[in-house]
Amino acid sequence: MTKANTLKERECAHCGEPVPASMLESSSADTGDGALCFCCVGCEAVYHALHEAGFDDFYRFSAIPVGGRLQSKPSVTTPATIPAQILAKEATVCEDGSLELMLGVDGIHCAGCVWLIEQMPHAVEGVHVARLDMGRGRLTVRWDAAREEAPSELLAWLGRFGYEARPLDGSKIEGHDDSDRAMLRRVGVTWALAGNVMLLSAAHYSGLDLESAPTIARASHWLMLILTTIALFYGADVILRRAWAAVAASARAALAGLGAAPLSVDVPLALGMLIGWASSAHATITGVGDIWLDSVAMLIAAVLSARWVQVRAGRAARQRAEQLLAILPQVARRLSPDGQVEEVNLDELAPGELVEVRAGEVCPADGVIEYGEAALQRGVMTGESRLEPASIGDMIEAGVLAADGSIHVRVQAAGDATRLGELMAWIDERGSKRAALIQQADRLGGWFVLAVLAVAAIAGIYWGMSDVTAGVSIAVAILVVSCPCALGMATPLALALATGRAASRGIFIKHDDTLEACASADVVIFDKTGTLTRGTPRVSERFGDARAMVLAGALAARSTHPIARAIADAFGQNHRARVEVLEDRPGRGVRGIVDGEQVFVGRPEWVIDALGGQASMSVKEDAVRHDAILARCEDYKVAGSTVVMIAVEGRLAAVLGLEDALRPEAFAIIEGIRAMGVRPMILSGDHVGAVEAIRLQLGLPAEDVYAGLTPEDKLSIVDELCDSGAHVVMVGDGVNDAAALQRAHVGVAMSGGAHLALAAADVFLTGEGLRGVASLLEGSRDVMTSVRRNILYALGYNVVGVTIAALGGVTPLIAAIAMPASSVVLLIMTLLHRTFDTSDTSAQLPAAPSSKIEDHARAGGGALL
Amino acid sequence: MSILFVLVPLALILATVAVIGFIWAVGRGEFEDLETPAVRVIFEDDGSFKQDQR
Repeated sequence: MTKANTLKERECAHCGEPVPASMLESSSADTGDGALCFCCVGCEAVYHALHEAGFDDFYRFSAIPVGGRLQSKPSVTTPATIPAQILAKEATVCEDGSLELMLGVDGIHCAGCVWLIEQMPHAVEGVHVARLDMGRGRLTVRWDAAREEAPSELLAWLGRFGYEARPLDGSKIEGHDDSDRAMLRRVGVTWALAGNVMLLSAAHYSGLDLESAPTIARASHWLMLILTTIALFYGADVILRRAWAAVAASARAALAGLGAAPLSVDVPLALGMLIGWASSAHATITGVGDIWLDSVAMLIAAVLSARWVQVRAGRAARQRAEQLLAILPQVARRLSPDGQVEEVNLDELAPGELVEVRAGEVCPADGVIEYGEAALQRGVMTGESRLEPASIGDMIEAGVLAADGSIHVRVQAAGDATRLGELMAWIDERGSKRAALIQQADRLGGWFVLAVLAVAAIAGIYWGMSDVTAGVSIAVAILVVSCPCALGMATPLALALATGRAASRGIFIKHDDTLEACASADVVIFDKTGTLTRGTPRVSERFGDARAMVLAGALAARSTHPIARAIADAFGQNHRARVEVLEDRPGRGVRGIVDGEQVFVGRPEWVIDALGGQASMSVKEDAVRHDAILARCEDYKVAGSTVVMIAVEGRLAAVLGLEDALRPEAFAIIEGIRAMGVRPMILSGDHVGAVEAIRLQLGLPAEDVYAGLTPEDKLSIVDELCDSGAHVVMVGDGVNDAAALQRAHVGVAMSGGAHLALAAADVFLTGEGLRGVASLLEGSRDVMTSVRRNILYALGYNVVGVTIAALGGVTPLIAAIAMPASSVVLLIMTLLHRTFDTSDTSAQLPAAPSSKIEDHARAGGGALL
Repeated sequence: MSILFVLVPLALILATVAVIGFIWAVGRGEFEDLETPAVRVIFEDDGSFKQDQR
């Protein structure tokens, strides 16, 4: 157990995640540098890549994390090169003749990443400048146009460190950037105008009036009017237009006899601004009446600020999602019947045509391979990063990467008709819908206008019976002081901020509605494989000769079988060993010569059979060890592990037990979810025994755990739950879950799974694993609290404000303080409500006996030799 | 008090200069990336990698 305690302290030298016992053992055993250990082979590979390239400084900077943890597995699907057509379209030529291009880069987590990527000019010949925008994952590179191989070299260089990069659609980005900039300009200019108007009006409140200093007072009134007019027609231009459009639409609907369409929040907002401005203009010209210009100017500035915050927060999340899903190439290489090759845009491609897909390219359409063979990486569809060979007659889908080998594909479906295209279209459709919650707020705003107009009319008439001027001024005061902006802004602002914050924690929410649905979730369904567990088998138990295990690791590194990979992972790829594979039998094992010794790695029956007569039992200690190994082998089998036996030079040397281990944080998170009143369920396609073990470890009731399900079973269970009125959140990672993910109220996909599942999901998590699910549930509840509080506050403010105004108690000074204050307080309240806080959520989860799980996991690793 | 006829326009001119400066900065994209510059200050001044660092 002392060993287990020291294990606990070890952190991955690359990403800082705790190191599983199996990895720890291997890395200190055969690399020799005992101080370094890694949580996975991916991290180890990246560490050595950094070290060899002389970039050890990475670790000086990477201690400052920005997003989530480092992704532990660099699964890179970067295209091998940038097609000439994209270069011609997207790259800009600089003054000195070099080319500049913007790339979307995924996998940036910390200051170290920024530093490393910006070292590119020192590492890749011909690259002059590399500048990274960390928040949006955009890299601007500039290189010598004369060096044509620079683009592919720099992509490969990024790929070595696990960064995924692809060129971005420049026209789309510029459009976004331009509208963002225009909005920011409006906000800044309006604040400058409002500030000056406030300054001038301060003089009036402190005693400057038309009697004491008529010239200055009149000049100041005119100046305020001019400044506010600019603010209204330049700054609030968008609001006025939208209000007009809403009124026009509503009027058309009313005329067509469809009943009044709900007015948007922009209408009362524009109404208040315009009436305040018009009556102040009248007062300025005639010299009689109240001046509300400072209130109007501040209101415009506050509303624009809130909108800007909202747009900026929401866009960040959407853009990252778009970038992640921008899988398809933009051009295809079409082969004409006479064998000519021409590059065409994707939308020109038609079924029946032949396209060429070269090594390292992504297939642009669904079709059948007609010529050539290639190793395909179907990660987009299946989440499986392994390569599978394909040749003539095999189907290939759009989005699949041809890792090596060039093929010709007969197109069956192109563009939106492909499987990928259909899903993308579905996402677009969802994205363009306004959230139901925001629509509700809009309707509330519509009723609000009517109520305020009615109150203003009644109060105006009541006061106007005795004094007409007083009546008009009271009506104006009511319209100006009632602030629908708090009402209309509250919901979208809170949602947009939460979406943005969640994105910075690696939780990407595609639609505002999702947060509401998450907050009311009753059931969370997990797909066991890959979600609750690590998803890959790992060596959890071992017994026997450590040297034999290293030899086995070296041999297994030559095989692609998942179990062989797990063994290779556990015992490090000993590159120095001379390995010759004699036999690689799927489902059985591998036989080979490692450093001159004959090594068998495989199923116990196969190894024992293969040894057969060879097994020399002459030496007594051999016999003892032989028996001990066989006994262990039985033990591991009973525990439900997959057993692998190792023999060296004709003698049984070691036995390994592999299992798909529960993620260490799973227990605490499941407990946290139950504490929130949500029922966790497991729907798994796995074997009953394996699922049952997980169920017992998590302490879930038997009726909430299903095993051995087909995708259709999963879908029907989700269907049943949804029909029974429960709000279902489904968490999955594979393509098999895509249908169930869509059917559930909220589908959550884990990154590292299939891109298709990412596309089908409403939420996807990067890097944070299971913890993101708990954060999502918790965060969404926080957001809804924030929304409700904002609406309550806005209603309260308006009831009080309008009542006082109707009683004649609101002067321009009170309005000037109360109105902007109401918006600013709302903005601050929303900003300070820390939904999706960046601090670790596990601190808020109830103290769960997580050590139990760790102990369990360690029991295997600790029981060494 | 008539000094105000000079001071107020002066204040407005200064404000205009600031606004023009702001618009120029927005156009250059200065407010687009608010995270990376904060991180960049911790790197070496020349941005290069030095082998003899340690």
